[in-house]
Parts: sequence; structure tokens; C-alpha cells
Amino acid sequence: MIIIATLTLTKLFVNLLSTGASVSAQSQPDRLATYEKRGDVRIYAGGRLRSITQEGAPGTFVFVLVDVTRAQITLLRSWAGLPVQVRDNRSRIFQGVYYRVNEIERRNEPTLYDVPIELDVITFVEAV
Amino acid sequence: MQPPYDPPRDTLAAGLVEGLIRDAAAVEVGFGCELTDLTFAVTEDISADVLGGSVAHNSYDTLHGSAQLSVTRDLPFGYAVLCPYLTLYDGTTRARFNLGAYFTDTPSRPLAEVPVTYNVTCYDLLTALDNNIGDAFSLPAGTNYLSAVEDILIGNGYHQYLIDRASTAVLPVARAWPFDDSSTWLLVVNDLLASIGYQGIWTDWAGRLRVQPYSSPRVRSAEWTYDVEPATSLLSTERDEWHDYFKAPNSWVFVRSNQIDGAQPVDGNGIYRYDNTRTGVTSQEARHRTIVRKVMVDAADQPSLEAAAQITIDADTAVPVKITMKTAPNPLHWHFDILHLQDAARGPETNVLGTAWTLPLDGSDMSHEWTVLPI
Repeated sequence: MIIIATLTLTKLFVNLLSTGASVSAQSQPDRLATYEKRGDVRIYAGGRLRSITQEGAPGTFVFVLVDVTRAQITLLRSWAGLPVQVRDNRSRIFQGVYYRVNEIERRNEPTLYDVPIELDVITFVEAV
Repeated sequence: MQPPYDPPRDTLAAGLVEGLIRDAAAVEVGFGCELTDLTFAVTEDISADVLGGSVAHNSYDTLHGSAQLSVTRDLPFGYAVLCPYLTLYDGTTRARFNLGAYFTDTPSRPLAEVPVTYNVTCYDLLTALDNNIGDAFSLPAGTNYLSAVEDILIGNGYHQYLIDRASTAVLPVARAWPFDDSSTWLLVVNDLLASIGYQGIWTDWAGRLRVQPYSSPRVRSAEWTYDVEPATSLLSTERDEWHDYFKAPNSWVFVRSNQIDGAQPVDGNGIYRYDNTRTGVTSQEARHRTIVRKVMVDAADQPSLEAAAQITIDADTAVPVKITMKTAPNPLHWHFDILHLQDAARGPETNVLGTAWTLPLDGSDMSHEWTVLPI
């Protein structure tokens, strides 16, 4: 008998790829994933319009963790610039790096913060 | 230029390569780089560690090829051979274009960066031939010119070279190169090749050294046509033309400097004269005066003297009209390309000689220097 387990995440998880250590928290809706091809339409002599793009499409994943503790923020700050994996409740997985950790005070919650993060997606090949 | 269907594009159907470069309305540019040795056995594909850069070629430089690469890893910089390549993809067809093989310099390591990014300057493989001989060098009379060249290449560690054996000439008298600062193996090789009417040695897109007879640009067929048609134009709107021929000669006297038995050179036997009376804007008719240049040539015989003379004449008459141009990426460009230019903005269509180019690996437009060939 084969048992297939389905894991449904109710939070957004940020894992440091080198150790697996995680920070999890609820996230605000309207998380934004973007993939943008680098290129442009150029004008050549005679009026020809031609598109030239670069291989690959750099991506970003922008999200806001809510009700984050100071201990979690300390951890997130220590991971800035290191490869992390982000999983959300839609089963989307992003490997990437972030460089900035903002902390926004929660009103009437003196120990909690909201933390917006912009993740730059990287190509990550897992060891086999 | 690179032949369009040279490996690794030899499996593509006719027309596809030209279609990618010229006809595709939208094209994706990629790049990569391989680490090899002088046999071009690939040690490792380091594409994932190359951020970008450019490849350049100047056909009139002593060392024609060069490259600038940003590399995010350590390499054996003392002996590494890097082979960058560019890919074009139009959604259906993908083609790879090898862009030569290069030695690297020993770049500085920025200590503040993790991982470190090396800005690597890469040099033509001819660099290994541009070494001082370290002694006087001589060849006895009767030595086959091309065999001597091959021996020098092998002696300097080259494994991959293509020599056109059209000439069987041998040295009529012994020849010596003194032990001084300017005596390099490259100088010796090019002296020997000039003596039999061959062009200077160069490295091709696969990193192989090429030795072949000189062929005047004026008699060579165009290898690529650049036009300004709406469906095929690759020419940038940025393009300049200038004329520079104030000192260009229009009369030449070539004298053989190694005449056997010390016989006095005479016209037809040791001396070759050429007058450009009517061709182009440097001609005697166009300038209303004669500007003479005398050149001493070490040549195997009178035909070799005349072949060597033609190289100089072509170079001197090629000076007048130069064009700096940007085009869409065309990775087929290489060494002294003959191009056909149909650009009403500059005048009647004409052939031009490609003398220099720089190809950015990120897909930016490439830059060129062309010389208009006299009609």
C-alpha cells in the first residue's frame, strides 16, 4: 500500500538552505512573484524594430511576514545574503537571496513586527 | 568570418544560422565558457561562474584576439585556457558560436566580496608565441619555410593548427635573427610567412592557429551582406565614416633584401614597383602628386616579393575611408572579414574590410571598424 502524504502549510516558511533552520509566520495576502526577461526592442537603420533578450529571467518574490518576534528577526537578519528557501501555503517554492530586512512595529503589540522581504530568485541545484 | 555551418553548427539545416543572426524578429542571446588546455580538451564548463564580458578582435594588432570576463570563482590563472561562446535562440533554433581560446591574466582578488568576482583579461593564444627567443636564431639555406613554421609551433607547445601547404618554397640563403629585445617567435613566424606571400599567423574561433596564403581583399568575395532593409537590417543608427589618407602612398618600390650572391637588385629581379595611378582617392590622379614609399622585403624569390608587396599595397590603399559601426550581435565575425555594405546613407554599395570588432556577451549591439575597399 502506498501512502501519499500531502503537507498543507498554513504559514510561510523561510529555511536557510545550508542548515534547514526555519522561520515561519503568517504572511499578508497579495504576495507578488515576478519574473522579468531582460531585453529591449531596438531600432536599426532603415527603421527595423527587433527584440533582443538575454537568456534566463531573473525573478523576485515579495512578501510580508506578520507577527514576527525579535528572535525571528535576529535570525532573518543573520540570513541576509545567504541562500534560503521560501514556501507558501500555495505550495510555491522559491530559492533565493534577500539583502534587506525591514521591521514595522505592530500597533498595540510591543513585541511583534511585520517584516517585508524581497527575495531575489537564484538557480539552486540540490546535491544528490 | 566563421563559416556559418562549421561545428558545432554543422547539424543545422542550410539557412538557419543566417536566419538566427539576421532574420529572426526576436532573438535570445546566451553565453557560456569552457575551461580547457592547449589541446582544447574541455576540463570543465564554467558557464555558471561567468557573469558576462566581451570578446574583441583587432586584425591589425600583434595579438589579435582578447576578451574581458567576470568570473566568480578561482581558476588556474597561470595556465588556464578559456573558451567563451555565445548562443542565439529564436524559439525554434538554437545555435552555438565558439569565440576563440584565450590565456588569462592573473587578476586581483577583491577581498571584500563573497563570492569573489575576478575581472579577467584574456589574451590571444598567440601570446605564447610572442615570447622572446632568448637566443639568436638561424635557419640554413634549403629549409622549407612552412616546415620551419610548424617546428616553431610544436616547439612552443601548440597542438592545434592548420597550415595551408600551397607553398613548397625553401630558404634561398641562410637567415638569422639576432639575440635582441624584439626577436620573438611570433616575429620569426611572421617573417617566414611574409617571405612566401602568406598572411600573418592568426588564431581562429576554435583556438586553432591558422597559416594560409595571403589573398588580397579586393579579389575576395563578400562573406556577409549588411543592408538597411526592414526585414534584415542589422546596422545600428549609430554609424560614422571618416577619410584619413593625407600620408597614404600611391607609389611603392619593394626591394628584396636577401638577394643571393649579393647581385644588384634590378626591376623584375629583386625590385618590384607599383603605381596606383587611378584607383581610389589615394591614387596619383586623385591626389595630383606621387607619394613614394620604399620597403625592404626578405623574400624567397621574385614572386614572393611581389606577393609580400601586395599585402603592403593593400594595407596602404585601405587607409582612406573608415567606418565605425554598431550592429546587432553577429558572432560569425573574425579575422579580416570581407563584408558587403548596402547603406544608402553613406553612398553606393561597396565592399568593406572588417579590421576590428567587439562583441558583448550580454546581447548588446557589437561595435566594428571597417575600411572601405577601393572599387
